[in-house]
Amino acid sequence: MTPRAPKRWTDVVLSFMTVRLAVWVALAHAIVPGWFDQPWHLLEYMDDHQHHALDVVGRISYLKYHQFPLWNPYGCGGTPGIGEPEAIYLSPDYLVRALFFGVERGRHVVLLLGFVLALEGMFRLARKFDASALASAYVALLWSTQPFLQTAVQNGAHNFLIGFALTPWALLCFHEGLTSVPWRLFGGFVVAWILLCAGTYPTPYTLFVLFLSTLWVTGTALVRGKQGEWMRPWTTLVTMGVISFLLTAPKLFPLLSFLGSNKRTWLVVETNAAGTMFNELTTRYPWLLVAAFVALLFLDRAAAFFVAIAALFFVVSLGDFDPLAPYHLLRSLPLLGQLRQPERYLLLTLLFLCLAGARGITLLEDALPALVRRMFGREPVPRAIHAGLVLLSAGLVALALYPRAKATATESTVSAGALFTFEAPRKMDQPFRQARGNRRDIHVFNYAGLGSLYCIVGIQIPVSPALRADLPAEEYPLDPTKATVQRLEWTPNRIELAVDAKEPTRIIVNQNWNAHFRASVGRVVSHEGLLAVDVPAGTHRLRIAYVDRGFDVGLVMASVTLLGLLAYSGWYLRRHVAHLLSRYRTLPFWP
Amino acid sequence: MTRLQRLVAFVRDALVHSAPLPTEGPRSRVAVLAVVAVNIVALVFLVENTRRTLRPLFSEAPPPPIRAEGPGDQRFELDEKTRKSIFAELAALELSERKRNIDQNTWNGHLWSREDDRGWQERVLARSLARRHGVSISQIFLVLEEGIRSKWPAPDGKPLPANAEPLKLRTGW
Repeated sequence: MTPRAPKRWTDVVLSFMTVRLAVWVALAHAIVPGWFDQPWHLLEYMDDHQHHALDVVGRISYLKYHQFPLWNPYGCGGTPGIGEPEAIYLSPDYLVRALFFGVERGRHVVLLLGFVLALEGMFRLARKFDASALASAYVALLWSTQPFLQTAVQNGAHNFLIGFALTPWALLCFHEGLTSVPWRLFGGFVVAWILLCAGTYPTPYTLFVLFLSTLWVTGTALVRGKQGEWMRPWTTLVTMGVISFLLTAPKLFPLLSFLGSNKRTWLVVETNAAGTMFNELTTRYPWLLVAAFVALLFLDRAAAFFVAIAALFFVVSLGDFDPLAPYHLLRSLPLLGQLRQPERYLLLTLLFLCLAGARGITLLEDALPALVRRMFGREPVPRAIHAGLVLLSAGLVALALYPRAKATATESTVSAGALFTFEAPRKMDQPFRQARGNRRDIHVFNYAGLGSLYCIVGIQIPVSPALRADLPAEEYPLDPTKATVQRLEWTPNRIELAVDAKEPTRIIVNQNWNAHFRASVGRVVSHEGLLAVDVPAGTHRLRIAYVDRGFDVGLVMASVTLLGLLAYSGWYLRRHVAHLLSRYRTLPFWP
Repeated sequence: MTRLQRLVAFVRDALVHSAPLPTEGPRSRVAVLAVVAVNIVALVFLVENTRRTLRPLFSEAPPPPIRAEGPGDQRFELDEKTRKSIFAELAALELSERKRNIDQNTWNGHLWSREDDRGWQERVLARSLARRHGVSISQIFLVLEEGIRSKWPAPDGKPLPANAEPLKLRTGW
C-alpha cells in the first residue's frame, strides 16, 4: 500500500510511511494542540453535547449491559439506536475509542486519527496521480486544515472529520483497485467505515465522487480503444460496493427501516451567491488556484479532469438556484433530497483543486530538469547534473511553498485550552428513569442515568405526548386496581417485569412504542404512542425486548465478510513477506 | 482434476494474479538494512510524537461523581434550602418564558420551537446558577429534575409540567 516508486530522488524521504506518519503527528501537535487537551471537558456548542450523549449511550449498552445499542431509551423517550443515521455504534473508530479509551479521552484520540488520516489519504492520492512528494504534502496540509473539517470539529461533528478524511482514501482505493484486488477489498472497508461513522454527508459525497471517477476511467479506456479495459472500473466499483454493503449490513438494514418510516422534510430553498462561494476559495487558497491554472497551461489531462469536476461541485454548491441546477436535480434523487447545506459541496471542489494544484506544482518542479534534458538533446544528462537539478527544483519549490504552508498552519491553529472549554459533566449512578431534560445539555442527563424527554434528532420520529418525568415507576399498570407491576431487570433493549394481573389489563412502559418490540406474554401495543403490553390475567414474568431481525441478519453477513477479509489479508501478508524474504536472499550485499 | 479442484485453482490463480506483489525495492542487502534503520528511527519519532501529543489526555483525573444522598437533607451534595432556591429561580424563569411565548405568539405557535427557546433560557440560567452556587451544571439540572418529580410548587403555586413538548421538527427557519 505504499505509493508508487518516486521518480525524483527528493521524493524518497517521504516515501517511507513511518516517516510520513511521524511528520503528520508532529503537524497535529504543532497546529491543533487544542484538540488534544482537557479530556473531560466538552465543546461549548450544543451539538457536541448531543454527540457526547450518544457516545455515552452506546458505551453503557456495550459495557454495562453487554448489548448492541439497538434501542436508545435515553433520548426523546426512546429512539432506534443503531438505525438512526447519526448513530456511530458500529464504526471501527467508535468501537476502539469508546470501548478502550472511554468516551471522553477516546474522542480526542479520534481527532488525532482523523487529522492523520486526512493528511495521509490526500498525500497518497496526490502521489497516485504522479504529484511530487513536496506537492502532495502541501495539498495534504491544505486538505486536512480546511475550514469545513475545522468547523466540524468545533461543533462536535467528529464523524465528519473521519468521514471526509476517508474520502480521498476511497478514491485512492478505487484507482489502485483497477489493478489490484486487495485495494478493492480495502476500498470496500473504507466506504463501509464512512457509512458506519454516521456518514450522512460523507457517504453520498464519496459515492458521487467514485461514480464520476468510474465514468472518467471508463471514458478514457473507450477513447484509447483498449478492449475490455472499460469493464475494470465497473468491476472495481461493484466489488467495493458489495464489500461495503456486506460490512455495513447490520447498520444498513435498521437504517433503511428507519428511513422508510421516518422522513426529514426541509422546505427551505437553499442558494449561495457565486461570488461568496468563489471568495471562500480565493481568499484561502489563491496559490492552489494558481497552481491548478499552471497545470492547465501545461495541458495536463488529469488536471483538466480535476478542474472540471471541481467546477461541477462548485456549481452544485451554489444550491437550488434553478429547476435545472445540479443541486436541485440531486435533491430529486432518493435519500439525497434530505440533505441540506449545498455549500458543503465546496469541500469536493477543494478535493479536486488539491489534486489539480498538486499536478501544477509538480509540473513546475519537473520543469527545470526537463528543460535541461531538452538542451542536451539525444545525449543523456549526466546523473550528477540531473540529481543536482532535481534537488535545486525541489529546493525552489520548497522555498515557495514553505511560507504558504506556514500561513495555512497559522490560520488553522487551535491553541491548547482554546476549544474544549465547557464544564465536564459529573456522573451519578441511579436506576434508569425519564427526566424532562434539556436537549442543549442532554449529556448531563445520560451521565446521571436519566433519559431526556426534551430532545432533538435529525429526522422526525414519533414521540409520545404521554411521556412523563414525574412517575413513581417507569413501568405501571394502566389501571392500578387491576394489576401490580414490579421491575425485575432493566436494560436498554430488554425489560423484565413481575406482573400480577387480576384480570386482562394493559401494562405501560414510559418509553415510545416501536414496531420492533416483542413481549413474552400478551401483545405489544401502542398506548397514546407509549410502549404497552396487553397481558392476560395471572402472574407473569413479562419480558419486553427490542428485536431487530434485520440487524441480526446483517450482523451475520458482516461477521462472515470480516472474517473472510481477515483471512484474505493474512494470506496476502504471508505471501508478501515470503516474497520479500525470497527477494532478500537473492540480493547482493553491496550494489 | 475434479471440478472442485479446478474451481479452487481458478479462484487461487485469480487472486494471485490480481494481488500483485511489489516489483521494486532496495537492490542490495545494505540498502535493505538502511530502509529498516530509517523505519526504526521514524517509528521512534512517531511513538514519541504521539505520546507527546496525547499526554494531556492522560494526565488529568475525571471529575468526581455526584453523591446522590448525603448527610441530613443533602441530595446531590446540596442542602434542601439551596435546592429549593435553585428550583424557584428556574421555575420563575419557566413561567415567565411560557407567558412571553403566548403573549408574543412566538414561532407562530409552533410548540416545540417555543419549548426549544425556553430550553435555551433554562440552559443560560443553569450556567449562571452553577457559577453563583459554585456547583456543577449537572447538579443544577438534577435539582430541577427533583423539583419536577417531587412536584415542588413553582411561584404560581402549581408544579412545573412534567412532560416536554414532543419533538416536531421545523421544515425551515
